[in-house]
Amino acid sequence: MKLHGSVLKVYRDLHSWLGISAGLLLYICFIAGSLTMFKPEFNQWAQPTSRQFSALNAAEYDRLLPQVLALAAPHEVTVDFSPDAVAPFSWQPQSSRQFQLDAHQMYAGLAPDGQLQTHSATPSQLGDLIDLLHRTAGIPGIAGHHYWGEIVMGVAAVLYFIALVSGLLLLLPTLRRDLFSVRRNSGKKFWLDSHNLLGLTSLPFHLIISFTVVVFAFHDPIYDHLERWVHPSDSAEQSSPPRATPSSLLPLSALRQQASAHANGATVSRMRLQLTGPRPLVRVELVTDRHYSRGARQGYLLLHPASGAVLSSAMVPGAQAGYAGMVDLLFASHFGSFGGYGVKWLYCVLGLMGALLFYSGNLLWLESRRHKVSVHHNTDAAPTQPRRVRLLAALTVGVGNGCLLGIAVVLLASKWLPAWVQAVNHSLMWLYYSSFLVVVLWSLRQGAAKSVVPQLYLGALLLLLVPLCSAIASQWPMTGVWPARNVAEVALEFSLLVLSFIGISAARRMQHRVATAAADSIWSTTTPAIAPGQKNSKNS
Amino acid sequence: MFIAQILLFIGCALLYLSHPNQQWRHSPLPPLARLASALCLLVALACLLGHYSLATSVLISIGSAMAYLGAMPFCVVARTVAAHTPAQTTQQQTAAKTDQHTQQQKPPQAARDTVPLRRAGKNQQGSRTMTAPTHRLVADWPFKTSAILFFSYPLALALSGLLFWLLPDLESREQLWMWTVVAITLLLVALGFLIRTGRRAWWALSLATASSWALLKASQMSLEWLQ
Repeated sequence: MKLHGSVLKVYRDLHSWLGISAGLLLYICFIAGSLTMFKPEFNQWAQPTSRQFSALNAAEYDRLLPQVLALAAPHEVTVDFSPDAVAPFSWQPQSSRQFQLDAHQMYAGLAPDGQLQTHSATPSQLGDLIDLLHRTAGIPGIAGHHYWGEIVMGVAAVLYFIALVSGLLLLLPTLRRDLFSVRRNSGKKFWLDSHNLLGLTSLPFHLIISFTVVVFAFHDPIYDHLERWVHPSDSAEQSSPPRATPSSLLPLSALRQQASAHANGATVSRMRLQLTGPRPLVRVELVTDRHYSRGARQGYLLLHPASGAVLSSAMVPGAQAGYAGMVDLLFASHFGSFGGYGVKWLYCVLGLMGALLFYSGNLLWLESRRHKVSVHHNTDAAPTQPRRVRLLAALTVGVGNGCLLGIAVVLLASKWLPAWVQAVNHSLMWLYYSSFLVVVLWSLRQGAAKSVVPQLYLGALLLLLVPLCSAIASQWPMTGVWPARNVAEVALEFSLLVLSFIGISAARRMQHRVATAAADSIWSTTTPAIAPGQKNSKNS
Repeated sequence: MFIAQILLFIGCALLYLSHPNQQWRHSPLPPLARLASALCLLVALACLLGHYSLATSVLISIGSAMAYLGAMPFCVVARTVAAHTPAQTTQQQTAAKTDQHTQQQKPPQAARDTVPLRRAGKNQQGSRTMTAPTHRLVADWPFKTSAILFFSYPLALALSGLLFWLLPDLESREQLWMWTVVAITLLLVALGFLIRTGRRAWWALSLATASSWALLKASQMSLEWLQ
């Protein structure tokens, strides 16, 4: 396909500048997003105590529910049917739509003596904090019922979409010729090919992510504008008259049976009883690997609490009527909510590859703008890099490593803090921000080349310490650290171990890279006299 | 699932190895390998269909193919890097540093062995572009960007409003409708820069927005009048 040179010029500029504007924020979101694939596992792993109540049978659920409702009223009770749930019943005494760091959680279940037993706790929300980082890139502040970070990421996603389209246009003329090419004879060409390869092979993934993020960030105002200006008459259809609060609630076994009958083969995993307010309903969570689903791991079915009638089956996996199937497909493509656990790993890998895409984009920007040693000027002095190049190089290293180090610190702290600190979630959040800021300042102060290697080693060491601490926890119980308690936790810690080895390998390669960097490279730590033969070295 | 993943991997590997830019073999596989690749991918899809719905199977296939095709060339490069001894590497680096002119004219041996010499240099840029001066796209950033920022979203709202009547009244119509606003906005924002000049962008987008809103409101009034 041929494109006019001026089109390529305009879209190359657009691609460079939009990419560089949003790249670092997107990098953070993609790294955190990869980990968010395992949000429930991280949440479970970070709890100092695991399951406290035994599993119940259907009759016990029915018997205990009225007592639980009496205790929890007027808050919404969640009934968990999965065998590895923390407790069969749970609720939040101070429920809120916003994320709460110090949210108390009440758990209820069956005591050994056959009576209802309750337990209050402030659970560690490690997985939710990583998810928050994924959604906001760590930008604090709340605007309405959205975080400022979500709005900023919505704007960044628009830039990201333009960068994707412009990148595709730039590649089209040489697509056949350059596909799968990875040249190693020059640093810049290697990163260019890597950037093109990652962007092109993952293009559908990136297009879906950017599209869905814009919708997630701006759906409220768009709905508002559509109702107010485009089709005002339709607004009346949206608000249905409030229903009366049900005087009775069907037994849980009956509700579960009704849900199973309309679940399209999916398993009923949880029920959220929303019995107060204008629209009382039971929100049933359905889990299946066979079909894609609306939520991160589950689809939904809405039942009437008193009659058990189906209020909405639009989000039942595989049975979405009308356009709900298309809408749910878009949600599922963002969340990776199809195909079970294997796809979570696949999305984790795609997310990490996405982060590499943004990192390579920044390196390319730097490579194109750094001052190179001129062949024609017979000078021994290394060129002074422009301020913007030094700044962006430091920011690329600082933000990239700051995010990784921050997460590593938080993971390690999750094992140590609960025994010593009350407000664990607050501490985790402050630890992330402090680590992130320290690393960014470190890079800004020392420069990219001097800071990158120790930061990578430090990050790898912190990650290595997590499984090590778990391994020796049983020997030193006074530390308050607990060992991995099941296969999922062992797998998680083994993954961290593998990541730490990858980090060490990356640090060693980077160390070699810095040691052999030419004087005009952004990885040069010194400015030595350059021999004539080194002047046009492309190895940067 | 496991067999399907193996087949997907083999299909992607065959696709990669049959491409001229592959770096695993001395020469790429014959074109027949692409047929075998397509066959592997189809059989993998059929295997997945035994466990998952069609949509889920297609999503898994695409996702896996993206990961395999994206990672494969890097794994191959890592292998070829590992295959070279440190002594060879040092020798090459020394040679590269001591003779810049040689390096410019003749790439290192390792690169020549592993990278097919099919890449275009900068002087080939012209061969992939048309040269008609009348089609020259002007950057004109302030005008073009402001026009796109001002009009893309209102135009998308109006176009979605018109599209609404084309969508049969089924479950979740409003939701899909909202998604179309974002889709149209993003396409307008991304492709709006293809308008030749900033002034033209202002004219084209403002006229399109005004006419779309006029058509939308006229259609609404007509429908109300008919009812």
